[in-house]
Amino acid sequence: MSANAYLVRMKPAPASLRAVVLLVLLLAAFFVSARVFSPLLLLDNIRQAAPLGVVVLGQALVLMMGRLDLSVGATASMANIVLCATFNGDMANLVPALALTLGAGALVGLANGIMATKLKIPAFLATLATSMIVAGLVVFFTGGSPRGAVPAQFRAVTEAWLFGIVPWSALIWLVLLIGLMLLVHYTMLGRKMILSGANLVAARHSGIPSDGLIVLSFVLCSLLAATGGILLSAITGMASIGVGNGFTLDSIAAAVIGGALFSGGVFLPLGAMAGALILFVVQSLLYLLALPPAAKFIVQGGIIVLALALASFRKGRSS
Amino acid sequence: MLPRGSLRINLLLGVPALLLAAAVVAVAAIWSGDFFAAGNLGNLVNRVLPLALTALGQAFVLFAGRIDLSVGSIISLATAILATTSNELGWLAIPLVLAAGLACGALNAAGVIWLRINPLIMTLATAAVVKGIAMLLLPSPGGEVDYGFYDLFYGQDLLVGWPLAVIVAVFALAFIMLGFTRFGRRIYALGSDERAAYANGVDVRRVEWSVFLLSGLFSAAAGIAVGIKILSGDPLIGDSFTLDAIAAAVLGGVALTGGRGGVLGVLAGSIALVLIANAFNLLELDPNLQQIAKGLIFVVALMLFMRGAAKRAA
Repeated sequence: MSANAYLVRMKPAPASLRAVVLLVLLLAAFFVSARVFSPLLLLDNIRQAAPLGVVVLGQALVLMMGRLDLSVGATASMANIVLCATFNGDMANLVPALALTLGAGALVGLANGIMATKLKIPAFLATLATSMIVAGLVVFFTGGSPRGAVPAQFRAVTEAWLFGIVPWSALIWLVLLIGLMLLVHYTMLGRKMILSGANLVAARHSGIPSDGLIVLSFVLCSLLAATGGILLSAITGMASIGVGNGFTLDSIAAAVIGGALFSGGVFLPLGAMAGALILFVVQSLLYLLALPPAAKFIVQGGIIVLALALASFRKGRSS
Repeated sequence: MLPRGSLRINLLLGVPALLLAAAVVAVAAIWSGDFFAAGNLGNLVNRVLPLALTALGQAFVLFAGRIDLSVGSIISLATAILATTSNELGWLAIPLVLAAGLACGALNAAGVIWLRINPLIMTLATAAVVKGIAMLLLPSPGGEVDYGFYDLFYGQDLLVGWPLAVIVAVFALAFIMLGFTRFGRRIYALGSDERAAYANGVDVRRVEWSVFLLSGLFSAAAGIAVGIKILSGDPLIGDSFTLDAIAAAVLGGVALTGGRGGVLGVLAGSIALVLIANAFNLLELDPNLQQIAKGLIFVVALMLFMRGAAKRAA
């Protein structure tokens, strides 16, 4: 591939740019109402938005395949419980804790993928059932009172800043984002995934193993959801049931704001990042304005409708 | 091909769910002597009522080939409104709640029809908004529902009482509406083949409006039944109903792709689900196992249905 082709693919899609513009406007509103401006505050917002941001990447990947994952919240919550229980407050357990947590996440994704492909169950229902089963298993095994904690050293993942200017969690988010972007847009595997998402029939006729790729997208999504849960655990430092449940709706809203289409075939990592930050800044803004927590749900639903209405309006005009 | 919505196809589609229900009854009756106690039977009817109403509303949407994921939130909102207004408004609280349910259904329909948003995601967004409104009204479980409602409606836990009467009346009405009226035919036509329905003069938008409105209305009615039963409001109580209602419909033979299914099957599916939950309680199993089992049953039902659908298509 020529250098020029690489540059063309690097160019962000209009939808991503729109999300970035919206983000800048929101940040302006945020700083005006907070009556301070500091890049540090912005970086701190990015640091705290990282768990959601990582989950959104997974959701965007599944949306690219034309599917929907309603189990990311339950998976992130499960990751929090498993991580805390296996860590048990001791940094020596680092490797088994991470391995078990990510392994459990991958299992959820595998179950989702198999149900959505081999068993031909609509993905949103399969993942809804998985989320119920996973949440039930968590409560069943913990008896409602989860044990363990994240050791202080591990919490540095989200609490410490590299050179005092860049939060580690933001770096992790960025690395995962770039990794996924390279996978989807610069490898043959990724191209095949996009085609499977955009036109499943055409992909099958071209000899692309679409079912396997869909399973792969679900596994990656659940792995990212578990990673989001791990980052969230580093922020909270303790095990609590259902801590990540909000991620399900948040991740869909963020992905949609970032230009993801439910018809599949689109993966906009920059848009997904901007979408996650927009949602997080909106939440901070609601907090600043002292609105009740319930307002968050209303705003969230409103944002989803608005983003999709604009998308379908544009589509209707251009066609 | 049997006429859609006819009594025969209704009964046929309900058979698997009824068999499952019978099996659960047999197991529960053998393992626990309490099953056939009059109190338990009455309790069962009271628990079937809200699920059956929600599943019926959901079924109208499913017959038309759409889906409604906001039913759970509408139930929560209904209990919240009931718990905050029933003492002042008395009986007027009931029409108020039903109007709120219709408004939620209208929100869904408006998004799907006017803004052309995918029903799945539109109703998910509505679910978030409605849940937010319920939490604004009633931030935590509480409030109070007039005891007069409970006394009149549930009175004693008898098998034959108001709850059973409501179930029978509503399902009989829905059965006639779907099987013997033009409106019912149009719903099935839309669900089977949208283009063919449009080409044959079905006003697609009007049918879409009516199914979403009906779903909102039935969910609100289910919420009233729940609110009266618990004598309070709870902004999260409806959450589990969303999946349960779809599961009940699928167990009862309703196709998620639209155009297939009958209301008697939906009723059978609702009964089966409630019986399973009841058996778990009677056998004194961990309630969390119940949630896991419900999820697994749902997956198995979907799996069997999808396999059957693929075979027919081949």
